Amino acid sequence: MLSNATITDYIKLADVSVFLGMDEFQKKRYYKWVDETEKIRILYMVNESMRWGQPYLVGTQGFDLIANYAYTLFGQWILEATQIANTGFGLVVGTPVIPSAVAGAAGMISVTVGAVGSPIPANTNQYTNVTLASRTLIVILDNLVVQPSPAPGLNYTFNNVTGTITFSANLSAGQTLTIIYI
Amino acid sequence: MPFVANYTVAQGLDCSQLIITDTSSYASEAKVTFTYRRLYLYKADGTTIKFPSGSTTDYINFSFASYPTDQITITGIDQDYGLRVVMELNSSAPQPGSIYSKSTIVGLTCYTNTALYGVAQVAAVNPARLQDPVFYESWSDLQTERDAAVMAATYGDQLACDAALKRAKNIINQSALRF
Repeated sequence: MLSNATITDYIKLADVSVFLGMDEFQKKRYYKWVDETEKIRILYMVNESMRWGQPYLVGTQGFDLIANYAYTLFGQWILEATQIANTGFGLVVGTPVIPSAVAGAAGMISVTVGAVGSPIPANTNQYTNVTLASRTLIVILDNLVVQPSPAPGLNYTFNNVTGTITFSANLSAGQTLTIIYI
Repeated sequence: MPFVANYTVAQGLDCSQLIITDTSSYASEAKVTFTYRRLYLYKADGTTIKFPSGSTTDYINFSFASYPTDQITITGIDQDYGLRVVMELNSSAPQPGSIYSKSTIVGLTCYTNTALYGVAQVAAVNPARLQDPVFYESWSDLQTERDAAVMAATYGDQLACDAALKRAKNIINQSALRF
């Protein structure tokens, strides 16, 4: 039976692999349409089930089936995903913030800057969501990963107590901010 | 320091149960100063979940005497709902600046998650099932509804949350045909 620690690693690797896969798909599509979105989508769905079942079902045969299937799906990206997840290099620059408490399931938030009802008015540089408190983040602005301070160019700081992200420059209306929290 | 009402809502593996924990700090105002503590679980149609099942009141009596650990397990949840959960306390000596009521939108997704878990197992055992577009699309649709419900709850949209969960329920009800 797979241990809880192994499952935690699998979930982390699958999270990163979904993004690596999406990036790879975009590049392939530029040259030749290779539809691998189903694989990425399936990995996402299997990972979500794994994430949901982890607190209750680790150690059961049925859970191992799902975990091993997830491993099969993210195997293509495992080397890169392991490096990103374990060393903090790559998509996540610097040492990832280790959650101080188990905060719940991972997820994604997408916000359009300046849209009607948007929590981020145009020409401001802050976004606060308590859901993000004590989480590890991947911050993406208009499909580009934004690195935490002190990275050159646009960067951000994150207050993991209040869940506030502060960018080094104001965001413009229509920009799409996507935050993956783990 | 003013009193601020707070609570958490959780579901375990048993989807028929909902666990609500009062996490308010009673350091600033002792429990004995409160005359009642009530919970309202409003469904999207405005009706409330009754607990115990025979209750005739809209509220659930979450009294300090009956629930000294500040945790209540509500049973009989028959399906996923987009709920508005309200905890209301009545103080006999209200303090300025204190907040005695808290309301949040909560998406109960346990039944949907259980169904998704079952489908993931089917795919894991027999990946060839993914060649069947009905299987794949149904799975994807169900996941989309779950994600939509969670996102809607995050943004406080009870109607959208509940609608997504109802669509998810429709998919689950057709499991024999889809999965």
